[in-house]
Amino acid sequence: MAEVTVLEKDVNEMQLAQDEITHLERRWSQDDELLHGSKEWRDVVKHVFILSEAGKPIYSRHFSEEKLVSLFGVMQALVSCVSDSEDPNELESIQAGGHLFVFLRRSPLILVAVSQAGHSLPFLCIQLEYLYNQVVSVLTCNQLEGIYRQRKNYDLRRLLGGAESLLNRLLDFTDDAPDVLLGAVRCLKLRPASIRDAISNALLSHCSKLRTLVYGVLLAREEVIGMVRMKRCQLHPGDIHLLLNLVRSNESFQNGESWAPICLPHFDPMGFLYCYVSYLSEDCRAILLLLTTDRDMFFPLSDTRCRIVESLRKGKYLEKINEAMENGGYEMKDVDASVGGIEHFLYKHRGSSQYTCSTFPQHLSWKRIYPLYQTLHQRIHSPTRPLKLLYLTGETECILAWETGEFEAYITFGCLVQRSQAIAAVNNLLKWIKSQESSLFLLNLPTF
Amino acid sequence: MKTMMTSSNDETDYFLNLCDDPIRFEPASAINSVFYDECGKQVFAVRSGGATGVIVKSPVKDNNHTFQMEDKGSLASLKLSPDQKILALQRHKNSVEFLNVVNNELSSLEYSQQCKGKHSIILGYIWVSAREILFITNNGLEFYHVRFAILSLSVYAEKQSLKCLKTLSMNVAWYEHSAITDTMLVATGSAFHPVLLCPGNVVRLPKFSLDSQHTVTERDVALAQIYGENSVLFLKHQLHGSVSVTVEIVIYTVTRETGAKKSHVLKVDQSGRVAINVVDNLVILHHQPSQTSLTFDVNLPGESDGYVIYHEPVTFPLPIKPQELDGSPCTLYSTMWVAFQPDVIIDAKTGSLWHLHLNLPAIVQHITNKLKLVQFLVGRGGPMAKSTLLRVLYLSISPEIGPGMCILAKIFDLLNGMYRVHLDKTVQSQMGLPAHGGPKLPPLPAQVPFHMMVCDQSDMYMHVFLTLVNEYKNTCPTNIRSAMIEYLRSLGQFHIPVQHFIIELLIDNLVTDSAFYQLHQLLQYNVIPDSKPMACTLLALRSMYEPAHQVALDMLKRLGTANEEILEILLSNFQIISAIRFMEEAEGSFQSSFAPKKFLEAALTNGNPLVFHSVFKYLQMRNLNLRNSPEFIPSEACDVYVNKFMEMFGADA
Amino acid sequence: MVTKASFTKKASLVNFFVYCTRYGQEEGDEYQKVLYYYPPEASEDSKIRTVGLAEAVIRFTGTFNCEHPCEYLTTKKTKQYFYEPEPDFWMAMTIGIPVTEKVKDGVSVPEYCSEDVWSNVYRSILIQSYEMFRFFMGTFESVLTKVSDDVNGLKSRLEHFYSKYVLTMELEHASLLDAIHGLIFLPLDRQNFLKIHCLVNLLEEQYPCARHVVFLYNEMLVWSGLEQKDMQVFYRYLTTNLFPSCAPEVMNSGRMTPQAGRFLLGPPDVKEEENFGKIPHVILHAGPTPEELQLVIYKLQNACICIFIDGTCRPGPVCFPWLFLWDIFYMDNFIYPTDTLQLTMDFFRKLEAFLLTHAPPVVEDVTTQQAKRLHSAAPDQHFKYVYFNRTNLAQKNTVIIEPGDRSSGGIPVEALRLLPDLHSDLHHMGTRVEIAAKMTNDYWVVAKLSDSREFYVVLNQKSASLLEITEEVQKLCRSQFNNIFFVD
Repeated sequence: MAEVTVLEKDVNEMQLAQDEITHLERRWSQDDELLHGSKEWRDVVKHVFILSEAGKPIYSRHFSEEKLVSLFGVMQALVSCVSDSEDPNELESIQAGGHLFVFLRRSPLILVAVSQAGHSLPFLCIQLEYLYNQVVSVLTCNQLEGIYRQRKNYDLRRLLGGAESLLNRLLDFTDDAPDVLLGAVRCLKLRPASIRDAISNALLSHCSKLRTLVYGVLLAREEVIGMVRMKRCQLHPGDIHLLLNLVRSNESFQNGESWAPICLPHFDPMGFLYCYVSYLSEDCRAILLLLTTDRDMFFPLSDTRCRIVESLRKGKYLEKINEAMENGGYEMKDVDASVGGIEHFLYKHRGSSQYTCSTFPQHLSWKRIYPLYQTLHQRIHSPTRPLKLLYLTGETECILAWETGEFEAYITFGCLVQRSQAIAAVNNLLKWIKSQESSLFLLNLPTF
Repeated sequence: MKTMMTSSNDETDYFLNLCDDPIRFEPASAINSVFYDECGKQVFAVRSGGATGVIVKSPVKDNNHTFQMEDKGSLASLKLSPDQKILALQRHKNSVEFLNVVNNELSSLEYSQQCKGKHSIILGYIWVSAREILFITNNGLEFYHVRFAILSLSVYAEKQSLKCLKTLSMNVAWYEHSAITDTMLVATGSAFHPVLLCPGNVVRLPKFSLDSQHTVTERDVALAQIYGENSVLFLKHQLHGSVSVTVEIVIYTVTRETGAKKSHVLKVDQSGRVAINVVDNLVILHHQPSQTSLTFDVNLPGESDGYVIYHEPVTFPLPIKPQELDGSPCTLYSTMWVAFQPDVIIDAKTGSLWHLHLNLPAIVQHITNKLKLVQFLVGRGGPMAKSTLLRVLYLSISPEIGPGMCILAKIFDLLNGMYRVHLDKTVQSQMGLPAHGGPKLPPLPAQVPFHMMVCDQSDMYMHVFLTLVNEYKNTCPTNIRSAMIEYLRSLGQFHIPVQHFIIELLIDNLVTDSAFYQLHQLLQYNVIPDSKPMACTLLALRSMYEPAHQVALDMLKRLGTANEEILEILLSNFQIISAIRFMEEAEGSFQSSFAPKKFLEAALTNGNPLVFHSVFKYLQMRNLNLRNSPEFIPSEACDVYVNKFMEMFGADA
Repeated sequence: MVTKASFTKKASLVNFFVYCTRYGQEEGDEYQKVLYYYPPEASEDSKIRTVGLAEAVIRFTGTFNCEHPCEYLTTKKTKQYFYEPEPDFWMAMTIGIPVTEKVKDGVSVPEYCSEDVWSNVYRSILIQSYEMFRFFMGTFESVLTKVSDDVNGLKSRLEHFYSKYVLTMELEHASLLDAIHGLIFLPLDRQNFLKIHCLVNLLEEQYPCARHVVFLYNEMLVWSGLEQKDMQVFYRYLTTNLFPSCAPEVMNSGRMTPQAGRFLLGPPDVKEEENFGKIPHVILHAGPTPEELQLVIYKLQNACICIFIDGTCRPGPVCFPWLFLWDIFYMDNFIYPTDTLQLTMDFFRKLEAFLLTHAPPVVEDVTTQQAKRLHSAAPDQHFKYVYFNRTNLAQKNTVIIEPGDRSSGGIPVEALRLLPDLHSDLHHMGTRVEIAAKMTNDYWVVAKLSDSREFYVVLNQKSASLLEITEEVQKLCRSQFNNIFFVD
């Protein structure tokens, strides 16, 4: 309780401070100084913070919020000081050497990233956006706004109780997975393509029977195996990523089925869907998610699962799925001899917001290449001067970034590749992908 | 004037001196008469008409003789033929007698030749060649061939005779002759005839007359060779009240084609007795009353009216250096002195013949205008000339006393103008074509003396710039640098390619002054010519000035023949990727065989495993294209790296 | 969609200020730390507030990394740049982000193009603004000592300088060139260069008080006796301030004959006894110790001879180079210690006489050579490029034709705007990097960084393939830069 009052005091001070931000320095407390001096603190590659517009700490990725009270205060003050002026404005980012500070205001929250990972500004914005959506998916906008409407200084941590791991997982995932940059999901590679159709049909046939069911999704670890949806209910990749994150951060499925409310911001930020989650079966570790608007559907959905499993088993599809999950991704050498010179690639099928990529080779560093992809991505997608194509010849690699109406690709070569050779390889790669399209992507999403 | 006051007794004041070993002969007296033959440079001392001996003294040892001959009356002159075989002498005004010289004895047989005209008077005679002699009579020239045979028997005496080859009739007042130019000046009243004497022929050139109407005697005339030109010098006098003042010396240049042409006028203004010598192409005017001499150099620029150049003396009047003779100081400028061309002074009283010498280092003190001084020095011959010139250049650049860039620029242009001509001559003589096909040169700053002193770049380097740099090591290099730049500019102006060592010196200078940005500008504008050695010099500078490295690479690239070097540099710099890319670019321009080891080694030491990986993969690809297998061949000795690659990236990588 | 960049509001200066953390520590007297603030009409409160925010931001970022100072802060509508030129002294400049009106379903909404306020370009503009002050006034510290630590002395100088300088920053014309900040050298043959060099040497010899001499022709550099860093600042002053400001004078000055020269800085007419014109003090900092000199510039035909003289003008108002851009006024407390050498009118007469005897032949030779060069110059190619060499700051460009004139030479403005982006990408990605980009309007832009060399080329070859463009660029390098070695 004592602690809380201290916080209250802090916060009040901060509102006053908005006009006299010049006093801020005086508020740095001893232990801050100590902490900020420490190596651990400075070596953090990417800090992420969430706070309330009142400056109340909500989440800190690396150090416990208690230690950072005044830092949160400052961040809040900066944001409000910028926004609070005769013509309203928003603090977006700060650059200091290798450090990039990104601020995202999603009333009633403020999200901040402090990165020295070399990630691009747009990318960090997306990442914070994801983080916000994650919070929403736990609380819904309604609840979030409601709470703060009642109490400006509410300590949201009380509500977000178990959500820490969700947030951590999401950040870990979004730090590395191209999904976020491309805004696309990856499908499990299934050959022949007929398997995928069969699975979709199985899902469809059983899901369509339930009126309140909105989505049925079958996931491998990181990839989508199959999806069915209600008419007029698009399933946005962003929402799929949240589902993936839910699965990832929730150990409870290990022991059977589970049932959880979840808000999918792109579907409806205001309300919950109810999500049935379970491994497909003992002998198939694919995960089935069934989302409904009806909170009392657990048992029917459980049955549905069994039926889906049965029909899949009939068609010997469970083995096929296991097989595919065993094989996992594919390396360049699995692709085709004709693409020699290519070390790694990302390919986004824009129509379906799905992508495919080769597994990243050991001898290259993702930590190095991914920021490069991001920079090229930023240039390609510039709002004022977008590009069709970019060819980077670097000291240790060459990268081609290429966007057309149907696809968007990022392709890495060794630094000594000849351009003619590179171009040839790319064309062959595109041919190959076209030929593999149906087994790499889930092109027709069945609806009911 | 200043120098005069301060150091009048200074050694360096005497820029003229008499030779230390004068030719001595018995002074003229009642019983001993002395003759000097300008052609043979021989002094004849004839004691009592020769009965008690004729002593012939000459600078040339073999031309010293002692004869006996019977006294047949007073002599007008004696002259030995150039081969010293016949002695011609004159006793009568219309004939010349001959005596053969047999084993250093005068034969007793004397034969003579009368001049053609009954009433003609022989003014003199000249040995044109060993057997040809020219009589000058008041009515013209008679050119004879002397038949010669050793005869012991007097009976054949009359057989001994001369054959007349040619006669030219003109009335002759007097004549002057120069053995050096084989030219004779014949005075016919108011006009003058240049006459060229050549073996077998005598050529009379068109006559000319002095513009002024004063009478000229032979004492006022001297024939000499000045800068290779056949010149006639006239002393021009004027009467100021009762005293005759020598106003100027007028020089005519004589050529077979154009005859005589007035070319120079030397301003004198001395009253009283004067005499002319020509030493090292300088006209020296001795002034007896003041006991001083004036020096003129027609090679120096003077005011010109388009035809004639008017010259001031090179220095103010200075005395000849005092001289000892027989242990006592000898009287200089004595009234007994007679000056003969070009550089002979005879004192009949003391019986001595001197050659006049120039003391260059002394003159240097007296010409304050450095440009004039250099122009003067380049005209000089003799051992001291060049060293003196270089010394002067050295002083002209020295920070404290230098005359400044303005003058320096002119000096360099003068020298390099001559340098250029010299180069052209050598090239032409070597391959018979003009040295520079390039744009036409600016006109040479001064007329080029015939023997032309050349200061080439190594002279400038050794004796001027290097010495200066060493001397002023830690004081003010900028001034010396400016001089070098000026020198480069001048070389460039005459399209003379600059040599490596000069540039090296300049660079050193810039570096010691750490004026790297300036150095860079010089490189930028190609003031510093491309060459492999230069590139190396620059590479060596890298530690002090990083960009030098870039400039060096550019230079090697421009040379177009240094791709191996470039490759080496890149590798030694661990820019392996760049090296390989360059190699692909410059495909096939490499003589030395390709060694994958080099690249792998460099890639490994470079430290970035990614680079090593790329290089390795690249080389494998290369092998594949060469011999359908990614393997290296044993001779390439790459196993070490193959293994290294395995352990770094695994076998399947 | 691509917006054809027709701004309804161009990049503009929101504020520009200098503050020192040493002052105004006590609560309530924060205003003391503000040494200069633009716009002047801003209220004390808002000044204190903006400065306070800046301090807070810097402090805040400081807690995350000690090595790098805070460089810039981006908001929706503005971009604010920070620079700490000297310990405790901070400068900040806030740029209003250009706005385009976009029509979305009937209603036009402002769209802020923060991309067009390149960090590298504008931060270097801020840094240059400091360097320019230091060039004419000295470091902030040195000024303080000069006025015996009376902070108002410093304030008045800052006020005096920046109130004018700020107006000369052509923010809306900012381009890649501001980021690279190079010098344009006159292409000249060896011999003519040597002649000029010798002329300079002669001048320095005859006038030992002439510490440094800089020779330009057609506003292009031929010889610089200054150190690079100083030359960079000085060149910027010449091209962005002096030359533009006195170009018209040349036109309508009656006494000018083509042969005659005149002092751009120095007495307008040496026949008038008293009028010394403007003779600014400059302080060079590239050397081991700062050198305070006086700047005299003489213009002869197309040549411009800049002489840095050791000594000071006779007592009286010290003039500043900006003054003839605006009406002249001066402050009483501007008295410099008078040095040994006094610049007398006689000195200038001699100087002019000297120049008029020695310079004309050299200048005329250069002129004839330039005429030839222009005559033989190739017609406008289908590409435009910018080349920069950091080692000697040499800059060559066909994009911006005249130095100072920022016309784009027929290139789509997007292409020009892409260049600074590529510039920063290159420098982030290493020391030997090349980027080839195809724009949506099918223009190609190739940017190349090769150790200390940078090369940007815009090619107008619709439907050219990457390979063709590669070929094209190689050709271009061979033709334009066959004398240098691009390390790939």
